[in-house]
Amino acid sequence: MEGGIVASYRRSSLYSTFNLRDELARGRCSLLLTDFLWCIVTSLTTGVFYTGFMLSNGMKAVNIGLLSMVPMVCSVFGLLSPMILRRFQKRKTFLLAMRFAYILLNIGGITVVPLFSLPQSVVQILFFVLIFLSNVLLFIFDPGFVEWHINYYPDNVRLSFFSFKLIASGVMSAVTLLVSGLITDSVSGSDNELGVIIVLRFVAFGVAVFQNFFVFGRMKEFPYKTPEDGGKKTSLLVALKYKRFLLTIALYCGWCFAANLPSSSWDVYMLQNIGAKYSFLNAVQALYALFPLLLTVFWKKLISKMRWLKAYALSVMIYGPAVMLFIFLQPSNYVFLYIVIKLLAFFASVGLNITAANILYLNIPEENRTSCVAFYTMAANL
Amino acid sequence: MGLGTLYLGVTEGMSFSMLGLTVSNLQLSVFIHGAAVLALGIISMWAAPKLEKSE
Repeated sequence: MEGGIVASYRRSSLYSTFNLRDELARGRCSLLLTDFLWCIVTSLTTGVFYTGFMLSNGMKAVNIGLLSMVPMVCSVFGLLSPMILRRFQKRKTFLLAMRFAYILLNIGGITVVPLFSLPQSVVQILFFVLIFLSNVLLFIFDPGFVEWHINYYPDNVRLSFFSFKLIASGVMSAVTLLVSGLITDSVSGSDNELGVIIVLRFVAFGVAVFQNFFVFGRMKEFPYKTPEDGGKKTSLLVALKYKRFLLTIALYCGWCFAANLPSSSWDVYMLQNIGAKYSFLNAVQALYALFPLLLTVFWKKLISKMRWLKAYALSVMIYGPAVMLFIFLQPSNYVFLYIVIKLLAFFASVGLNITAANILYLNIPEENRTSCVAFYTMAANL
Repeated sequence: MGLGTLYLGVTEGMSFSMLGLTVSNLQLSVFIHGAAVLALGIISMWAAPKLEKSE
């Protein structure tokens, strides 16, 4: 039985995508591991733990909301990324150092500041400063990571890589959500709530440092293609000369814009106007974890047949009308209709997530990749 | 996100009549989102063959 599983794994496209023999496939395994580790870090440092930590340190809800807008402002600093990164032909050490600084400020710094018995107003100002500085670093070094790792998923394995990544991330998110939910339940309301959250943040710090130096740190760096002018004119605006690239990412930015329009309207309407319960909304949302498992193979075949952008367009065309049905939701019919809307949206989301993950790489030029990635990151964040 | 928040702030508590239905500002916001996504899908379907290189 075990031999059968191993044999079928070796015959499948999964083996050529993920194995420990070939260097590129080993790199893709490392990228999956980094995703898993980062899932742990984010589940321990964001969401309820983050809000609980901030509230315990005297932050008001308005200020927490303002803090969440700081990264958007910092995305402008992505402008500096190509100019800084082009100075390094070998960037790995620099990128890892910058990432460590980000982890140190954003997780370590924010966790230790309240331990110094400073006045609350000073602590809150320091939170703003740390989040601002760490995100400036993030937007400068992040395009460098994309350019470094792009070599690990060439065209012939990209569909398998992104498809399996989607399934794996669905499982990882479900597991981390479940575990963090259990931790939240045991922590909330206890006398030592803040103490437990601080310990969890230190754990997250350790995991992030391990991920940075022992997983990313072991991955090979490939030579970067220098533009014809030697990179002298490297800036964010260089991306503007690649029309095909711009139009391709414009399709994804259109999605980012449309997706953010309703913000949290769905849930607010369901809770306030329809009177739905949290448990109902969460239960329906939890069903999504099954969809990548069930439908990735289907969408993979469809993408092979239709190609990336048409499959992307199709998934978007299913998602849009599904959401428009929302207008017919009333207290009398919401259970059935809400489930139908969400299931249709989940079906489309699987295709949307796989295809959207590849849009950046579809028409990215060989040279000036840092500028193009930085431009994409900034445009998607606006 | 900014535009969405602005819309919700301006239309807070309001309701609109359309297609024979009375809908709240929240429902309308999700409907606009759906319509915008559908339009994006149609544009993407039209642009796809022009943008994706043939192998």
